[in-house]
Amino acid sequence: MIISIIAYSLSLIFLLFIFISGFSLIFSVLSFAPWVPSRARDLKRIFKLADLRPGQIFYELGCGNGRVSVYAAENFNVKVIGLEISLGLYLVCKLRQLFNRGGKLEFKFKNLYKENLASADVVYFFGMPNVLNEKFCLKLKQELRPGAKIISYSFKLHDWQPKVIDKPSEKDLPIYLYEI
Amino acid sequence: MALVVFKNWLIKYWHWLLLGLMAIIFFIATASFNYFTQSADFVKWLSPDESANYNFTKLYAQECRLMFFEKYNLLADNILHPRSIRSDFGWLKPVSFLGIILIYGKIASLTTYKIIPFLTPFFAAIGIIFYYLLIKEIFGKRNAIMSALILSVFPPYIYYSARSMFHNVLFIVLLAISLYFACASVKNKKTATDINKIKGKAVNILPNLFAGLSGAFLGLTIITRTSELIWLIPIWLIIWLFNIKKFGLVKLIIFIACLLFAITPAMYWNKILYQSYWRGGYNEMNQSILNIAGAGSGILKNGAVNSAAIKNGLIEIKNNVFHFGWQPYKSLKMLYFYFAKMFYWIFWPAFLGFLLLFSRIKKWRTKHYVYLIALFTAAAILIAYYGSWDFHDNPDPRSRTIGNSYTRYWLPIYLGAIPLAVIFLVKLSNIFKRKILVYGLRILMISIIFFISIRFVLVGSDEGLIKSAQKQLAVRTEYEQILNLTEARAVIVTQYHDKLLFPARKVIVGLFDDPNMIKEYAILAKYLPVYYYNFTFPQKDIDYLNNKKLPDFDLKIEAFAEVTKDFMLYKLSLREETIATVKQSEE
Repeated sequence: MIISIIAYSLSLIFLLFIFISGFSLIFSVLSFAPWVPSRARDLKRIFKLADLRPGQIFYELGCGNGRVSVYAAENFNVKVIGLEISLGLYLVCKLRQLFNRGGKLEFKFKNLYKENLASADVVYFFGMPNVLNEKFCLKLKQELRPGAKIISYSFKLHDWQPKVIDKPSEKDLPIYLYEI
Repeated sequence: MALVVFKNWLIKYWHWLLLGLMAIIFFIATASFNYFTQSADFVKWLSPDESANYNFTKLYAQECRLMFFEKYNLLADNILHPRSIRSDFGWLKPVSFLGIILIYGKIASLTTYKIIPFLTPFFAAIGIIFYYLLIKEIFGKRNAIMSALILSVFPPYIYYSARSMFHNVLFIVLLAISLYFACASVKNKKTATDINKIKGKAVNILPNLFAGLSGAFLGLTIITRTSELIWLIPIWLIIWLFNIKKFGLVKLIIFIACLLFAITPAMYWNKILYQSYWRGGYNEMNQSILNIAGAGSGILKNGAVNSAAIKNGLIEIKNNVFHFGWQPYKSLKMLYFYFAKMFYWIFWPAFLGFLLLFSRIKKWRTKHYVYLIALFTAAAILIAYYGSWDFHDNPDPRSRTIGNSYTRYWLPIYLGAIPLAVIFLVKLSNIFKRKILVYGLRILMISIIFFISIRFVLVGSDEGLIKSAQKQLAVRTEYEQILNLTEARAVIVTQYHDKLLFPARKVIVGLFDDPNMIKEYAILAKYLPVYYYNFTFPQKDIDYLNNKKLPDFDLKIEAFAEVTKDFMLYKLSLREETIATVKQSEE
C-alpha cells in the first residue's frame, strides 16, 4: 500500500515536471527564441567581438544549454550570468555549473525582462527577429551603461546600426556588435 | 536484526565492496598526479603525445574543431608545429589517433574541459571493475577478485593512468568492456529470455543489447588505437569462430552495426582532416595501408598466372605490416627486459600458472581455449611487432624504464597474464589444509605484490611517478620565465621544450644541423621575434655559428637569458644590413 502511494506520488511529480518543462519550453520559444545552440566554431568570433577584460560582467540572455556562458567562464576571468526560462535547459545549465565552481558562473531561472542589466559590460543573445523589437531595444538602452557592448547572434536589432557585422564568408552566420 | 542483514549482505557482496573501494582509491591515487602537478594556468605534460592530445581535446570540447591555423606556416614551409602535431598548408592537425580526443572532448563539452586530465584515471577505475567481470566469466570469482586487485596496483596500469593523456589505458579499458559484453552476450541466462516474453514468444533482448554494446565499445577501442587492429582482428576472429553458433546472425549484425556506428565520428573527422575516411595523421601508416592494398590487389590480379607475383606481394605486405622491421631475437630480448625482468613478480607466477592450467587441459572448457589461444595470438603479434622497434622515450638509450613505450604497448599481454599468475598463487596457497592459513597466505602474497608494485611505480626508476612529478613541478618556473622573457607572438626553436611552450608560443622543433631549416628561421625572423632554446652552447660553438653557419642566411645568434643551469635562451635575428634591406623593401 505504502509502496503504491510512493510510486503514484513519484509518477505525479514526474508528470508535473514534464508538464512544467514543456510549458516553459514553449513559453521560451514564443517569448525569445527556440533553442538553437550557437555554433561551437563561432565562439572565437563571438568573444573576439566581446573583447572581455578581467573582472567584467558578461550576460547571456536565453543561455540554452549554457555553452556560451561556460566558454566565457572557462576562458576569461569574468563574471558570467546566464538567464534561461526553459526549466529543462536551466537544469542542464545547473548541472554544468557543478563542474565550474568558483563563483564566476551563475545561471538564473528568470525571464530576461525581469533582470536588470545595469551591471553588464557585455550582453550576448540569440533572439528571433520579431522579438528583437522596440520593447527589447528600449530595455537595453535604458538599463545598459554607456560603453556596454551588445552582441546579437544571427539577427539584427530593430532599427539599430551595428558597429561591426562579422560574417567572414557566405557560409558563416552574421554576428552583430552594438555599443551603447 | 539489522546487524544480521548487514552481515549477510557483507558475506554475499564483500567482493563488490572491496572492488568498489579499490576503484575509488585507484582513482584518487592516479588522479592526484595531475591534481598536484598542474593548476588552472599550468596544464602541461611530460611528453609531446600527451600535450597534443590534450590541446586538441580541449579545442574539440570548447569549439568543436580539430585544427588550429598558423598563418606563418605558409611562409615557413609548415615547420611551425610541435612534435605529434603536423601542419598542412598552415593548419595544425593531430598526428595521433582521434579516439581519445573525440571521446574525452565530447565528455568535456558536456561538462567542462577542466576534467580532461582526470578522465583516464576515471576510466581506468571503471576498467578494474570490468576486468573483474571479464575474468569472472572465464576463471571464476576467486581468480577475478585477485586479478582485479593485482591490476589495481600493476605499475604500467597505474603509470599510464596517471600520465593521463596517453591513450593506452583508455584503449585497454574499452577493450575489456567490449570483451565483457561479448562474453555476456553468449552466456546462457534464463532471465534474459524469461522476463522479455512478448505474446508468449521469447525475445532475447539482453544478449542482443550486450552484442550491440560489445560492438560499440570495440568501435571506440579501434578509433582509440587503430594500429592495434593488427592483433585485434585475429583475436576477434578466434573469439567469433569459437562462438559462431551461440552468437548467431542477428547478434553479429547488431554487433557490426554498432561497431560501425561507433567509428563514424572518427571517419568523419579523418575525412575533414586527412581527406579520406580511412587515413589517419601518421603518414607512414597511411603509406603502409596503400602499399598493402596495392600488394593485395597485385596478388589477386597476377597471382593466378605468376607465383613470383604472390611471393613479391606477400613480402611487400610483410614489410609494410612490420614497418619497423622483423627481428624475432630482438623481440624476445625486449620481452625478457620489459616483462620477465621488469615485472618478474607477475611473469614467473604467470608462467607457472600457465603450466598448471596446461596440465589440466582435459578439464578445459571452450572459454579457456578461447582465452589462451587469443592471448597467445595477441602476445605473439605484439611481441613481434613492437619488440622489433627501437623506442627511446627516455633520453638515455641504454636505460630500461617504465616510461619506455614497450610497457604501454604490451599492456594487453600483462593484463592477460595476471589471471594465469593468480592460478599459480591460488594453487600455492592450497598447500595448506586449514582455511585460515589458505586465506592468510593469499592475503600475504597479494600484500607482497602490492608492496613491490607500488614501490616500483613510485620510485622504481628514473621515470617513477615521484621523479616525474618533481620534474613537472620544476619545469613550471622554467615555463614562466620563458613566457616573461619572450613576446606573445614569438617563435621558439627548441628540441625538447615544444611540449612545454606550445600553444603559449609558436614552436619549431629544430637545431642548426639542417640548412633548409635555418633558411626558414631566417624567413620568420623578418616578421617575428625568433628565439632558440636549448642546452647552453660553449662560446666556440656560438662563434662557429655566427662566423660560419648563419652568415649564409643573414642570421646571427646571441645569448638572451640563462633560464636554468643547463639551458639558455638565445635570440636569432637578422644581421643589420638585412634589416635595412627589409625596411627599404617594405617602404
